[in-house]
Amino acid sequence: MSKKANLSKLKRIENGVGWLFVAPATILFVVFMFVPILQVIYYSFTSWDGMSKPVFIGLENFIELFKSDVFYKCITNNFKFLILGVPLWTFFPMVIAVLLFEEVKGWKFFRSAFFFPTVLSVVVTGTLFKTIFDYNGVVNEMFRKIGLDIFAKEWWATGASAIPLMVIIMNWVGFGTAMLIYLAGMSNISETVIEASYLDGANWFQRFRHIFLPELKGLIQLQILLNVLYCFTSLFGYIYVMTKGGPGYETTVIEYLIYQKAFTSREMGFASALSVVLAVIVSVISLIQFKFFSNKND
Amino acid sequence: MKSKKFTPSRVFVFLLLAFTALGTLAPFFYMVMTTFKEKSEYMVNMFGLPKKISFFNYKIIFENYDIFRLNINSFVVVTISVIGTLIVTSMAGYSMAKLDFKGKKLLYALIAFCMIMPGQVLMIPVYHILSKLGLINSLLGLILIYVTSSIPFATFLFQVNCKSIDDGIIEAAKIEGAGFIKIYIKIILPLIKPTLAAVAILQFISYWNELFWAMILVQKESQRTLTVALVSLTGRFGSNMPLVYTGLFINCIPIIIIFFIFQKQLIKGTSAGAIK
Repeated sequence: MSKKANLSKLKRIENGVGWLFVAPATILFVVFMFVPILQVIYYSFTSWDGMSKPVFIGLENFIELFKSDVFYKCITNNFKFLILGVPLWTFFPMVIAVLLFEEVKGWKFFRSAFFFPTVLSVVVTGTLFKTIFDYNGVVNEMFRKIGLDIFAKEWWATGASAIPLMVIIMNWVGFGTAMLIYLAGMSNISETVIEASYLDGANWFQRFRHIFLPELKGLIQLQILLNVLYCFTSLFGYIYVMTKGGPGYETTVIEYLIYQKAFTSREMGFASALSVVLAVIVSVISLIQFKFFSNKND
Repeated sequence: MKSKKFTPSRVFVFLLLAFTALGTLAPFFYMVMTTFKEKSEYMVNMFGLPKKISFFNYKIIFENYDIFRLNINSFVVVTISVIGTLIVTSMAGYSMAKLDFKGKKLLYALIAFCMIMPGQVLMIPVYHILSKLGLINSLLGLILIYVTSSIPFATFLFQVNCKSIDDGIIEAAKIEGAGFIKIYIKIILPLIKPTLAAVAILQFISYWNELFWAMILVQKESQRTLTVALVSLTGRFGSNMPLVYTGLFINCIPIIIIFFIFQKQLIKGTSAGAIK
């Protein structure tokens, strides 16, 4: 009896201590993430300039939003980044990882070199590449110098050249991270399988097709989903530093539009409605991801 | 052991990697090289090495920006945020891995749900909450947001790490009369040191480089972080690339030092994403 009471007392203490330890994280989380999500939903039904009291206007923001050309323009831009970016950001680092795995001379140096840009700030890489590709930037000057003036373009003048360029720049900056993740995944492959492939005289491409590709399937799927998510959540810095969404709305994406509406034109209600739409998009993608991975683990 | 035979296919791989490495590092080297050219030289010698090394650009940048002050701001924000992150998330990770408490599943779901929300979704309410608390233009506000933003990722890493700790050690300590808090300090923390180091380094870099929150939450000039202040470089110096690049390079210096010293931990910390 007393032992049982002791045990339940211990359980109670554990319960209390358990909460005590997660309390700081939980409080921060609730105050700065969970409550804001609820608030943004409320604001989306109001007209608000950020200072006076929000006025409830029902679905008006959403109606205006779905009627506005700018919204469709921006979401199309999100999809342009997605269609161009996801294949490149997923497969380029994988190919590099497979090549590194051959452990040719100097592979450790190469690995460091590829990883290096990922630690630089988007302000640094963004500004650097923006200026390199300016009309009088070093790339165009190089083209002019070797007589290929036709290639010296106004790279940032239209979305048609700016978006692909940004996708490539993001790959330049970020592929080191995914490369390391693929390398970690490959190090789980049994040595004997790889060993056997060497004895059979297979080259790196054959190993790639028959050993790495099947083994890395899970990680490739993960990268694809992360990259899709990236197109809706992580473009802000590059766009802010390189194009400010311009010219016009040529390179504006949803998250950047939210920032503009909120902090430039102070349409907090409309910006909140945009935020809700973005949150729904991101949640749906994550839900698919969750379903996908929980099915796989069964 | 892998065969290190010299075959055409391996030479091809080497060349591909070398070419890619060149492409990866060239823009950065170009930037650093240009910082040592004066504008007049840059105009006539855009591509080549500087004929004479000049520190003139550095002088101008130090005259135009309060680099010392900006560095201090950044270091204060980043250091306190990193310490806060380590304390808050290692405690949470330990609790979620080793302690049994009611509502754990709910908390887990909450974190998973909020994990993917981009800052732009939260910015309006967060800005409003912080201004009500009087924390706009305050480094404390920024620190709170940084710590919050790292909770999902870091808690997860600590939880995985704590789970792998043998329950026997903890039970033995309990029998000797150690409480939960003592166990955390005396047993858990020393065992998760490598993860603490990895999270500290990764978060140091990401806080140092952070633009969005630092820009909208701190608008007062004197409180700005270095990264935010340098966004104005292109606006201020227009086409004077040597000056712009000098400012950028100054921002990278602490990060480059960290990269060289802690590369191993960085690579390990980043690869840990694979287990996710």
